[in-house]
Amino acid sequence: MMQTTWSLSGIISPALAALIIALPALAAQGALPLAILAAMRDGTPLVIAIDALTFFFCAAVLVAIHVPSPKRADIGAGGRIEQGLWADVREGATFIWQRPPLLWLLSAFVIANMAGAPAGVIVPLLVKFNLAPNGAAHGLIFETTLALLGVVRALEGSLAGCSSAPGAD
Amino acid sequence: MSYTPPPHGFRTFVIVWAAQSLSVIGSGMTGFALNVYLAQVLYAAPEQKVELALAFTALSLGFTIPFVFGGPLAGAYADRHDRKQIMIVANVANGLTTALTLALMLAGSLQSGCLWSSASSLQRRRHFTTPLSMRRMRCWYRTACCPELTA
Repeated sequence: MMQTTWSLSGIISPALAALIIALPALAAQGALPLAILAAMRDGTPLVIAIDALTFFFCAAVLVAIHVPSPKRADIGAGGRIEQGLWADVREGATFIWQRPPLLWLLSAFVIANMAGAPAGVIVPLLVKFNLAPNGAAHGLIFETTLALLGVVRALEGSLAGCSSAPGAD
Repeated sequence: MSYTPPPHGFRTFVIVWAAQSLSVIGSGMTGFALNVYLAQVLYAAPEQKVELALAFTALSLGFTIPFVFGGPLAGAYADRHDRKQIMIVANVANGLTTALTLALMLAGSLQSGCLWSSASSLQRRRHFTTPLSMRRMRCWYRTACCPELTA
């Protein structure tokens, strides 16, 4: 379910952020009856403020509910965990190292991330310096073009995942 | 030894998941907004192309480096302490960091160094809210690939 959220976030977040960033411009044009928004240069601070509120909301939700913490099996007589923190990390790393399928899976993620990560740097630069004239010809500003590309990239990833799922064909 | 799930365990998970989902979407929006801020406000001039590229790279590294190097350690830490407290502290710390980013932005003092810190901080929170510790990965592997070990 958290993976679904990350995928959904890739689709929803850029579009939602672009909409919120454009709100002050819409208010300045009279499309929204909110004078306080019209006074803002753009809606970037609004986006950051909403993000801060979501963190505090999450914390408040967690305060209100009971979250169980499973007890570890290796707790000693004094209630202390015998194994140190670094030993835990080492144990996990050794476990992965000794299982080639898991190691190959992690290696595949490393390669996929190394191949895909530069897009986060290159795409905004391409949009600003190469695609801007074409976007403007179609009535798209920087934020809209960037959001569109972000949504399409996230959709592409989700669709590829769905089509390769067992039983999809 | 048989495992007994906690009462209302799935309901608790759904509540936490729903709240975290809102936060994940909020963080995704901030990531987009920071890119826009860098490109349209901080390094808006065409002659600042190099500075803008460096700023995007720094922001990207700010998101990635803590996740790669802090992930295994944060996972092991979360396995040893109260998860509820860890998640509350991580969320409040990130709320405060984001609020500080907002304040600096409104004051016109937000530079790429501050953005880097903010991005790193957001990733540190992700360590504690994403199930990615090596120990938990081991449990996952045992359940998924070697069910006879869990039985």
